[in-house]
Amino acid sequence: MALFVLRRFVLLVPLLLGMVLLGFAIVKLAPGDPVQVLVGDYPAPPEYVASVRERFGLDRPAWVQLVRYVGEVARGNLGYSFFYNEPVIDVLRGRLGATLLLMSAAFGLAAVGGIALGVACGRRPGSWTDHVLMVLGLAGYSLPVFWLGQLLLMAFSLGLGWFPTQGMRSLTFGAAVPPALDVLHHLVLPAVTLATRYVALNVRLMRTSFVEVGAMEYITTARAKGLAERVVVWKHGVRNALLPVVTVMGLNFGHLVAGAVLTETVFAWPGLGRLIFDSILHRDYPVMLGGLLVVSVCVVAGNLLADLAYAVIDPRIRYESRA
Amino acid sequence: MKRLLLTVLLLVALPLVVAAQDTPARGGTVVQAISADPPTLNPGTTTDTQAWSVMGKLFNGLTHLDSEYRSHPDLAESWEISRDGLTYTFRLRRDVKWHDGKPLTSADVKFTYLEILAKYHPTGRVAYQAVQSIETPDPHTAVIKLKKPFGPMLFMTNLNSGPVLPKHLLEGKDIATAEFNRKPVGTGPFRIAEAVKGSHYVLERNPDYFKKGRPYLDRVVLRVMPNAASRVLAFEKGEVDVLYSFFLPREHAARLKTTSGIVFKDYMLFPEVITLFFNLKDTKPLGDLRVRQAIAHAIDRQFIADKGYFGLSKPGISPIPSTLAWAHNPKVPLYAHDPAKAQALLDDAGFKAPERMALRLAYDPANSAVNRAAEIVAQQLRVVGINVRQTPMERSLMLEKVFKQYEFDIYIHNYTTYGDPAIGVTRAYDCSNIRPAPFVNVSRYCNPRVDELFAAAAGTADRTERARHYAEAQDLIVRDLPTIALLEYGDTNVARPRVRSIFLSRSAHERWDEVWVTDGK
Amino acid sequence: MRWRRLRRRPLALAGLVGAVLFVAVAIAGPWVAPRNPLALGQDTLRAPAPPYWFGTDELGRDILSGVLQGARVSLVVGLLSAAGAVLVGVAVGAVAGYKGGAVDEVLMRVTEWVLVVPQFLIVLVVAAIFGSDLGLVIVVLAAVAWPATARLTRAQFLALGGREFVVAARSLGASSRRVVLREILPNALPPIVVAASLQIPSSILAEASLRFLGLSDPNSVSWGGMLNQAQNFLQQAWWMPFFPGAAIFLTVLSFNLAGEALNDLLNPRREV
Repeated sequence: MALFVLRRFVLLVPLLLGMVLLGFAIVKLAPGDPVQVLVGDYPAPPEYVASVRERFGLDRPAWVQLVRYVGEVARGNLGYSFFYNEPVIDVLRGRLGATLLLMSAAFGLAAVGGIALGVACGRRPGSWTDHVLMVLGLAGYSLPVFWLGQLLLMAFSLGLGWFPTQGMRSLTFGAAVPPALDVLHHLVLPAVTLATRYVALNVRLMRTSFVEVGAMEYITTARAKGLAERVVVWKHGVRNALLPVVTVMGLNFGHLVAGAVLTETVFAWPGLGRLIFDSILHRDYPVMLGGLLVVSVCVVAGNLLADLAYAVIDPRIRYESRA
Repeated sequence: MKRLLLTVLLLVALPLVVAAQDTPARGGTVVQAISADPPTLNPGTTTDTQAWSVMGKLFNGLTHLDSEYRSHPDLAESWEISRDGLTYTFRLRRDVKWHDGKPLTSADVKFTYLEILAKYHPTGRVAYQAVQSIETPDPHTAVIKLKKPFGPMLFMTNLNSGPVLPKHLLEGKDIATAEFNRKPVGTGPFRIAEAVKGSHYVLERNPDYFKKGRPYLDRVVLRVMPNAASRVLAFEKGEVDVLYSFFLPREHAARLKTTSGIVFKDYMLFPEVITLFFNLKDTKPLGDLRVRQAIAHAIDRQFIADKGYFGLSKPGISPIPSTLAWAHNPKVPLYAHDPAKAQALLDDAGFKAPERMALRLAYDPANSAVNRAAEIVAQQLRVVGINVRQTPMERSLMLEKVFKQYEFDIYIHNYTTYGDPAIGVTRAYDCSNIRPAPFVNVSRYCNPRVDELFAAAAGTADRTERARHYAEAQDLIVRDLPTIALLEYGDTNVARPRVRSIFLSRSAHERWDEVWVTDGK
Repeated sequence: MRWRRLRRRPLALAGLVGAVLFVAVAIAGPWVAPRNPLALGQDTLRAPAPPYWFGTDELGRDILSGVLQGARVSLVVGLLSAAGAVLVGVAVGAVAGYKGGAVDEVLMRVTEWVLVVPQFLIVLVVAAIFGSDLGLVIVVLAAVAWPATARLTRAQFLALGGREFVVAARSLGASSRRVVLREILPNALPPIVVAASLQIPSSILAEASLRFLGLSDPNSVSWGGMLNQAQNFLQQAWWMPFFPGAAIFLTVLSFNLAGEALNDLLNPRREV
């Protein structure tokens, strides 16, 4: 098991290297001069421009910059942000937590909601519930995440006033609400927005998978043995049906990031996705490269977790190291 | 009888209530919204609005401004200007301490002006490069000698272009990476208490502030709110107390202004003119004055102001906006909206309908001040048969393509005046500013008489004389039409009714020591 | 016979009808639109009522006309980038599945890489840096969307490669090219067609997402771009985000339903 994890981590290296190369190529091919953006609106003196260029090593040939960058990244240094004027690591650290919170909340909702509803469909295929949920599922899957966000915002924040419109926390001093609850209050709409597509996806997957593993047969057998139906459904049916769902959820981690950028934009959630997008607009390339790298690591980690979850759920798979 | 009594009571009580409301009280917090994290907290190297909203309250200039651009004592308690306009003598207050307890001296002023602002400050540079030398005969006197008379010199000693910085923390340090940029130490009414990236910045009262009994507020909180609509909503809900124009989208400003009780002020330090530049050199049709006049007549500036900017901006008149009242010339030729006349002029110039010519319109799509104007202008020119192709260029691309390679036919940008025509307006029109650099004379317009007038106006501190030169220059420019002043950008700042004594200065960052709140919260 | 089964599934039928309608609007939009969607007007921020059935935006532009005209951009991007993705995917999958060995290994590594990488962010970065020109957006969307098809094609080729008719063709001396194009591909096609049909709605969504983030061409109208503009008017004008968003939603839903219907027709195995 440990070896399996280790091997996956080794495989990560070419993946991340590829990401760095791609990002670097894009930056080098980009038109325009990031230094000019950096020095402000008023005509800056040439000496100042030159000093900025030198400070960020932008006066060197591209390959020197690349080698230097890879070397620095290997040592855990992601460089210095033009725009924020502080180490990239620090810039990212502040935002990563917010994004992980949003993504895991959405992920949790998608897992719990999707599986429960999927089982509800799968237990009675062809029933009224099944039909309605399947249609809703397809609808949910087809909703543009940003539009859903806007609609929820108009309905529940602007209209009913139940939830805050933006951000992650309110800043009233000495507020009666404990901070954790406050964040949770802010989290509801963005998390629901981001989760909807995946709830829908999971419902459909779970339903199909539940039917295909022949969960009904387990249930019939179990009933014959006199076991409680609920136990059978969850222990045998769901466990077996879960495998394809876990795989797809793992693969969808990358898509979740895309959804996060859009959701963060609608709700001004101070996350990584939005930071990366803003860093492109500011031409703050070190932050952009670092952000892409961190997101890639997260996505790979998500895949790895999915694989591990797969192993835990499926009794047939053991990641032995004998091979 | 009863009613009379009541009336009398009310008449007696009312002034009391009002008085209670009008006497500044200590305590309380004001929440201000900003749109992004400050890139640095060093006021010596940036004009970034985010950054200034945070750190502006930590510093002082030698002088501060009122709402009419007049200078008043701040760190300097008095000054004299020699008759030849070459020597400025400032006497500093003796009771000023940096946040770390060290006293402020004239050496700080000399260091700041010559070593920081003259080298790194985007606008301060212009003024402080006119400085020949600064003498510090004693710790509380700074004598500034200029190379030649420079009209805006005193104006430039305000906080925005002349923040005084601590020599003892910056001398010998790399200005780009100094710790000071993250942990600024100033003389101002507030100090930084907490900084959480992407979320908020808390400033707390400086207990040793040199003005006794100031500041009134315990705290100023700056919330980072990237989403404009949300900033406005938070303001309406009372979660945010102050929204300055740079963070308040026009589509909302119009509505907020009419909300009862809201305090608002329609200006900011550096009035901007949204300007349309013609490429006079490379684009054949635009070299013809009739074509430029036609375009001026085709554009409905009133529509842009009313619909595009929700009535909060005014149609432009000349390169110097009316908000800089002393220098503005309202009697220049106006090009009224008249599509028929535009068509006739184009016919006359030999560009026949239906598709008279194709023009590329460059602008920065991320710049909310201009993207709307660009969209409307494009459509209005299409109406008279000019096939306009909008070519949005993200900022760094724009700096390259527009200002270095001149790859545009029409370019729209909001040029700021920086509070004085000598600093912000001259650069866009004089011959010496035809060079491949950002935000200079991109039309490549050159009229020697205009150059003479601008030079004369910058060479004296006498406002009346300066105004005379500027009036003539504006008239010449508007006749030659190298640019069209589309709009005087509207700047509406709003504050909740509980906030008092705000917007005292032209600058959004000065005089926060006077701000107070009625409820003490 | 299969068609009859389709008739018993009204939703699938609705999807097909919706998809056809969308294509029709995309083609005819500019002619049926009541006015030029870019034309400015004095009637600004009007709520939906005749003559502005979907209301107007803050510059007096007609939203109905914008929605009708915007269909074209979505269609062009959706179809072309899906087509591009499928072509690349089929080519890569076919070569990998047919050649096997080292070629397969390398191609599958690359495929895996593209699959794992945060694709949308890459599209975003490229569009933001190099401009949001229509052609570029199509190419970039296609460039990250092909791996799913590649895997599917490869699996089909592996499964079909050993079948009798393929072996027979090969032993008769048919060229590789002929075997791949004439023998295997036609038989591998049904699931690929289904995958392709499902690629269209995701491309449409991806394009709209880019436009929503502000990366759009101001010289033409797009649904995502309209939503981007609406973001500042959520409080005053619900119709500004509502109609363009509903257009995206219904289009994507139609294509998804149509894809399912296609799946039923071509892969009748899975009937529950």
